[in-house]
Amino acid sequence: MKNLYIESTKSTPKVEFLLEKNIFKIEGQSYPENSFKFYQPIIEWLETYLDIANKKSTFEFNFLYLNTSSSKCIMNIIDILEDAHHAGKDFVLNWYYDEENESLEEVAEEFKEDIEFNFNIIPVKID
Amino acid sequence: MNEGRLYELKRVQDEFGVLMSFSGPFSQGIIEEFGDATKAYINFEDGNKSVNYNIFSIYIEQTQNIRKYIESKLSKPDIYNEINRSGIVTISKKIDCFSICSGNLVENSDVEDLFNNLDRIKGLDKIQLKELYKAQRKKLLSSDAEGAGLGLIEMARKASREIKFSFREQNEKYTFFCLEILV
Repeated sequence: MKNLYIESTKSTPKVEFLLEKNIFKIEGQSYPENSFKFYQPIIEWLETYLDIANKKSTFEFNFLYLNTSSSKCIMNIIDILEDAHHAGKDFVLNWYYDEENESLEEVAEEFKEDIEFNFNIIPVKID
Repeated sequence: MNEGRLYELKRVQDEFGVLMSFSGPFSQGIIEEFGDATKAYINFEDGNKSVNYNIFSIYIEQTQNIRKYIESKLSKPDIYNEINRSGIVTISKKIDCFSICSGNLVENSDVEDLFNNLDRIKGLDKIQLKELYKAQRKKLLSSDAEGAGLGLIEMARKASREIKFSFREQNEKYTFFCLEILV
């Protein structure tokens, strides 16, 4: 498997999946014209990785904005992580958000509902 | 447009507290650029990050819904062009809230479903809306086609007052649809 790196654009996040560090980051804005098209390769990469993963992984998300289409794709990713957890995979999801934005905190909290895997919601100071 | 009528148009916009308005074809590029300009303006005007986030969010959902609707008519070029030219979006500041308002032509055959969807959402409280949102979001999609449904629910959740919408039949083919969300 190769690392996955996608540069950010105005409406899509930076994706940085580094196998050598077992750290998998998605950060930035997310409101592409076609979320399914943008997230499909990311989802496929994650499914392949989680199938073979044998070390502790750290997922780090920091979304500045998620449109509803992206939110659907992220829900898909969260479900895949939950399945991986039930299959015995060792990982943590750290979801960062601007501490001054309650709406972003709510977004994270709602994804966390009904989830059993290790999901941390972490406020950060943004200038 | 002539200069006299343009002045009238500006006066009416000012009267209704319009901060930003765009009328014309909505490409993803326009949505992004206009969105950036709106964000910059609103952040300058008001300090509440959560409110500003919600304004931007509603603006994106409305404009992307219009965009998706236009794209769904790609196989019918005359209709595609007509609807593509019809879009308008405004962001306005009222005394105690912001208003995000958009409009576009819809085919008369699409009116009933849209009306029923909005009518159903209008009657739900915040808890019911949240349940509906979570249920819709879980549905596994093979394409982005159903995106518009989730957007309306999300907007209703963020709205601080009941959502307002109207349908004005233009002729035997089209109706002009308007949606207003207050936040």
